[in-house]
Amino acid sequence: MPVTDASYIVMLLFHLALYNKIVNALSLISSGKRGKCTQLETISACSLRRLSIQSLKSGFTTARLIKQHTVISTDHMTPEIKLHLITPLCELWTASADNIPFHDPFWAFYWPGGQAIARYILDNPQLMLGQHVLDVGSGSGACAIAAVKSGALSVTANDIDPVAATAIKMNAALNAVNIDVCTENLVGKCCVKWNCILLGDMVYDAEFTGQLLKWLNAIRCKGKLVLLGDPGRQALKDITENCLTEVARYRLPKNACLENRGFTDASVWSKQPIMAALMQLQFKFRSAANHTRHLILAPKHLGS
Amino acid sequence: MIIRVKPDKTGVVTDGVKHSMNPFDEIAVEEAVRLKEKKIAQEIVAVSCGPAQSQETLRTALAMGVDRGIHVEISGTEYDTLQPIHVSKILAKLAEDEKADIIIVGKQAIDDDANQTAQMTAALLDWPQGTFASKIEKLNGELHVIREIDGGLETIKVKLPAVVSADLRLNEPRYATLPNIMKAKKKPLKKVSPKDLGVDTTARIEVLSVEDPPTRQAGVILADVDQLIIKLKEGGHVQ
Repeated sequence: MPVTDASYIVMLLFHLALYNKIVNALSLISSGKRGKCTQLETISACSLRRLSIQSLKSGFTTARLIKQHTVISTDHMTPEIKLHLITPLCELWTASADNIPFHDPFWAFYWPGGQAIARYILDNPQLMLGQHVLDVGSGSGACAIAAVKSGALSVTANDIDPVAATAIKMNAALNAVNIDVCTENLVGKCCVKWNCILLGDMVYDAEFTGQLLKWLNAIRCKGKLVLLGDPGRQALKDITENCLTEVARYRLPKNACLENRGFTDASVWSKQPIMAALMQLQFKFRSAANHTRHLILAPKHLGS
Repeated sequence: MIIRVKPDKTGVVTDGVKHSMNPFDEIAVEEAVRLKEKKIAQEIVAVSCGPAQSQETLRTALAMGVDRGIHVEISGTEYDTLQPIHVSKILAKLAEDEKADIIIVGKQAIDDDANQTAQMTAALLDWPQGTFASKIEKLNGELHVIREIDGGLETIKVKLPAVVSADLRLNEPRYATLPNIMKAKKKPLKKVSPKDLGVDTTARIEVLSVEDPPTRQAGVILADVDQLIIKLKEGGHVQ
């Protein structure tokens, strides 16, 4: 018989919650990469070669594990993209987090915000024309694949998990597209190489959201298109009012609802380049017709 | 697992015991998630009072669809003497801080079977209560709660904010699958102490003694009714 927690409650908030300092920062923030690089530079060329062979081998092992534990799925909002995913057909579906051969396989699921961004890009390919795209927190690489399919000039998938990097390469091959993969933590870094940034499901708590916004504000000055996908997490609700515009909203399919208990929709938010934002501000003062940019981005699938 | 009484008779041995969510609380969490799926609720906050292991329980709640967790850390002797009155004060304070509209708790814990937290919390907040709920509906800004009572069901209307306690038939909680467990890892979990909330957790009840139930005497099999009558007479049960 289990000993239970006598004192367990649930509180439902109908209004915005008070801002609380959240103690657990996302693992994404911690950047251990730099230390590793310095170490690498000091070792001899010979051992470096051995290391690269090792990593190649471990890449093969990872790929084999991914193949073994996932199925190729098109049962999502972008059936034109095939992805290696853990689905109800897989043994791991009902496993606990301690009994799986991967460390935090976030890449093994097609997250709702990512699905919304990918659907939006595929339906509005004009947005990707001439773009050099960076997909931050890429996971399975679905948004990056959608960007290539929509005609982006170049696409980089960024995820700090090396296993995700392997999964992204496998998924890119599955869809016959070319994607650069980068595992450096790019949040906060200068991103001159890219003029479009995709962020699916990256907004979880006030602390990391704050960092992300600071970064986006800095790169916004360079007139980039930023698309953020999210199923309506509170941290996003707390920030959307001042700087984001909802450009599309999708009803999640049934299986996505079951994978994301509590969520029923996913939206794409656009962070507007500063000129458009300024124009909108002027329009606001002049008249109610302040939807210039919004109209350009008006989704076809809104509410579908 | 066999439950053993501590040698000093102050309680039962809980060292190394796996902590899990109380079944009635699972029902409470599930109902909250369903209210969010029906767009009645905007955000769900789960609260657990207890030692470090409570965080695992909170992660389970997050995997069931809760948005964020608050762990009120209470350990050691303080935890051993934690009573519904303390938990109610903690919940009442958090409900005010978080501007909650509904508090849902399990109707009772399966370890101490106290069945007091919902009622005390409602009293502390001066909110209406719908206890032993087997159905919750929101109509015209009010909650209609169907309650399980002796010999039937009772339907009551309560104004919001309100406290509800979940009974067995409210719903059947869904099992948390790996994708939900993975997503729970990204959800915020905050730790606070009762002191942060200004709640005094000094024991209000002193446990005098916890005893094992008396062991049953072995029985005997008798050959016939005559022998039974002889035995009963010997024992002074019949004359």
